[in-house]
Amino acid sequence: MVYNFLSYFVTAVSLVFLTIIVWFIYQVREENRILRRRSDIGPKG
Amino acid sequence: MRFFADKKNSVWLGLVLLMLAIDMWVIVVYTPMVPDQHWAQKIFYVHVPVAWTAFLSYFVVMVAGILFLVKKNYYWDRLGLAAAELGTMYTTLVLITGPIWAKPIWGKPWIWEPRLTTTLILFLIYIGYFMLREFGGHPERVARYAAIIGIVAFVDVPIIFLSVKFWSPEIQSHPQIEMVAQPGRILLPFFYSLITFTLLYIIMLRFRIHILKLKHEEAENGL
Repeated sequence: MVYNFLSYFVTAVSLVFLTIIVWFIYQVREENRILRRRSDIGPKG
Repeated sequence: MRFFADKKNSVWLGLVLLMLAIDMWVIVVYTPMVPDQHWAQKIFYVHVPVAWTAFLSYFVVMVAGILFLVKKNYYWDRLGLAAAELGTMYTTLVLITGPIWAKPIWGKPWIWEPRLTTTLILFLIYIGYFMLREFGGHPERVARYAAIIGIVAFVDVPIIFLSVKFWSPEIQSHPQIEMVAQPGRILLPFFYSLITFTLLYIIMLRFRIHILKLKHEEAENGL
């Protein structure tokens, strides 16, 4: 039962949530990168 | 402006996170244990909502594709691309969580039965979609072809749903028909999970559109 819980349920559920968390981290980093570049170039332009 | 600087978006995300925490608690504690399947069965409370979200996303790609071809407005192209990315991410999760469930239930993670095969075909179509996006050449042409692929690819979604009825129905029963017959302690958490994942998908889609808009502006201004 415990094996069933850990090896199947926890694996599947944590995979889904880890993927979504990594996706959010990637988007926030990309947003930061774009906005930083904008603010770097903004005052010169 | 940052996406989550808008209070509406941060409140939405907070609400979704709270709903997800409750969802997990309900799945682990409240839902009954199905004999013979034990914990593996509970994967379905996540697997099916993830599959629903993937297909919803591909529906958005199709609608965005039609609207792009009609209106020639690049907002619809960005919406289509964002939805295609999320749909493919969710389809990947479906293709991984399905075999995790299948291993203890069927004894093997993958069998070449209609629903699994047609889902894999949909995933492969979208691999082609992203190859076109990456290597297609002129942006206007890429957007047009991507819209057409998005519309044509959606034909596979009803085939996935009905595939079990068309071919070898003895291999796997149709979950929607079975779900209606389920008791409330299974049905209510299932629908709650479905709503939670749909709300999560909406905030993810809006966030991704925001990023794609920023990238588009960056490219236009030559930054």
